[in-house]
Amino acid sequence: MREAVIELKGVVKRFGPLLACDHLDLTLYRGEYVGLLGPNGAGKTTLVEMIEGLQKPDSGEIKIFGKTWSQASKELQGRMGISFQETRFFDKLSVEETLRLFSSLYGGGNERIEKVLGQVALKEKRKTYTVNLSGGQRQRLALGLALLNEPEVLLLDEPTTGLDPNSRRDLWEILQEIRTQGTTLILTTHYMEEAETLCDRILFMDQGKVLADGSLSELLTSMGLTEMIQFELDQPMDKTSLPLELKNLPFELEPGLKKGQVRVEKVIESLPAFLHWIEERGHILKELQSRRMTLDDLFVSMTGRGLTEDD
Amino acid sequence: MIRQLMLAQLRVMFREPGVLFWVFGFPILMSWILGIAFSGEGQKNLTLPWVGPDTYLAELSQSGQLSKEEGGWRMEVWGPAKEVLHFKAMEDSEAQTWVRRGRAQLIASFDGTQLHLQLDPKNPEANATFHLLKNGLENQTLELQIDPITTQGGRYVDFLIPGLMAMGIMNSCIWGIGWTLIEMRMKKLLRRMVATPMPKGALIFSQFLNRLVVSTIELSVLFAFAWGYFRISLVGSLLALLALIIAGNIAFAGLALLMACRTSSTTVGSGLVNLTTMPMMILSGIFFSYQNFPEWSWPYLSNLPLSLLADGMRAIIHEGAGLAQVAYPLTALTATGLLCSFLALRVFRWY
Repeated sequence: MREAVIELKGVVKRFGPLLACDHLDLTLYRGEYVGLLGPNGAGKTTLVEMIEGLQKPDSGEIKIFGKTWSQASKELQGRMGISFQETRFFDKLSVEETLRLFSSLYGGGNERIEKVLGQVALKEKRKTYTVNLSGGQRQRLALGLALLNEPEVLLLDEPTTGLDPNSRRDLWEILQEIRTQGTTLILTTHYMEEAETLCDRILFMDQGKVLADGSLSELLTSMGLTEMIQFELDQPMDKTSLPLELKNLPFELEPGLKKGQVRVEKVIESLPAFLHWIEERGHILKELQSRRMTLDDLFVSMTGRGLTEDD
Repeated sequence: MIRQLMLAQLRVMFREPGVLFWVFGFPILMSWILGIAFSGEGQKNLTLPWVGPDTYLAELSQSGQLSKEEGGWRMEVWGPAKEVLHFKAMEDSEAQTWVRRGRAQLIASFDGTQLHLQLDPKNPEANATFHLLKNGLENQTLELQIDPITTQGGRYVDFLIPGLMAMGIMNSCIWGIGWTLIEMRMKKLLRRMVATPMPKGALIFSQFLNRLVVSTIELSVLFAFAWGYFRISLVGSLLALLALIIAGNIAFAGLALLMACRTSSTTVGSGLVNLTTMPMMILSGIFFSYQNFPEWSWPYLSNLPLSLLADGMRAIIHEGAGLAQVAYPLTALTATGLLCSFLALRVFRWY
């Protein structure tokens, strides 16, 4: 039996006319790595901040380890590790001094600091003022602060936004290592790749609602068609002339009808027939790509909008 | 190109309401306030302590230059602006107190042959008063004898040092607590700290203790300098001085909290800092006595936190006051600080 760590029941949060959380019911279990995905304004940060106790829901109930924030705020703060979208530190405090300060705020001594410095790979930067850290190092320090109290639940709000691909991958590696300790991770992100790499459970959020909930393969197979062919032809395509085995596939064409994509069950089965048809019609293939469907494709097909688009 | 550059900068300036105040409102406000203090507007009441029998003044009144008024004598001085000097007879000790507190810069007395004027020649206000008086006595064949004030308490620097000490406490708290909190909020550092099990009071209390330590050291250094260079010594009780430093820190820590309770913008923050400190620096008698302002305003001005602190410091350092004599400023400052903290923490934005 999996142990529920975080439970939300009918949680509603409004900001004026905006419904940031629309009657959310959600249970997260110990050891899960959960990715919260959605465009800006989807309600991810609001949801995370309510779990962190920084915001109160208008109605509904949030329980963490079976307790509400009003019952046990100090205990919950002590058992959680959090990192905000963007935190800056005391400019002229070194990495080690910052860790020492926060360790004391969690009521701990200095015994964890060496370990954390190692975990977030900042041992060589221990004497550096935080103001002189790079973006990636700063995010690693923020993660380090979140790890000081050996949290059972780790909440990271867009930990890699604005980082270059290498720094991003460094952070993912750290998070993969922590996984072995049975930590529960909740992570919000814009990046599909991040969720695909790290998370064994993915929640799609849009306009305050959870649109989809499951593992990556569950989400993809739920669509039935998990692979994708993208192409560009030299002239407009006439769908009616497609052979029978291709006719019923969901072709999506861009205006002008030359460029398009189609979701298929198996590329290896559908592609030969498609190529054969192109040759037969005398079309010239200007571009061809086939790949597994990604979370991005999935999100577009659910909402009609891209994940990284602003609304 | 120059035009676009200028336009861009002007747009940025006019879209920042705080800037508008500092560019247009503040200079007008300043000139208005200082104008009241230093112009004849609203009938400037320059009152000079007169020590000894006032027979000489009675003599002068017969030549028509002086007239008797309630509580003393009045002299109209002919000049570009008609100014009025008042003479008030009092004991020497009272006259000295007037000078120490900046209420008067000049003490007059007559020894039978000479008119003695006690003043600090380095004090510009005393010089101005002297010239005014000299004008008023123009057609008198009279010897003026100037007795420079060189003992502690009556010099301008004596007035200045305790005021600067008080201002040190104010600035230390407003910047060290108020500004720091605003900056921490802006950086989301405050929010991050509050998300730990740290009791919120611990953060505030640690800041207060820090300010107390820092300002005590700062004041000791300033006082040591004043002692070495200007020969200012502590006449009153050290205990009372320490108590006043604590009370001052409580008062300004409270004000700092109130100032910093909501905003997370450093632009607004720097405006708030100026708005809190500037008026008091002018009105509280740090560089010149608030008794330059109209008399009706004195009871208000003397109760500003910075005035209470500065006047209390002067009383202890120069007049030998002890705990009992500064009981009022101690209580008032502590109460102000506690009230402000209470209000601030009720509406404080931690996230």
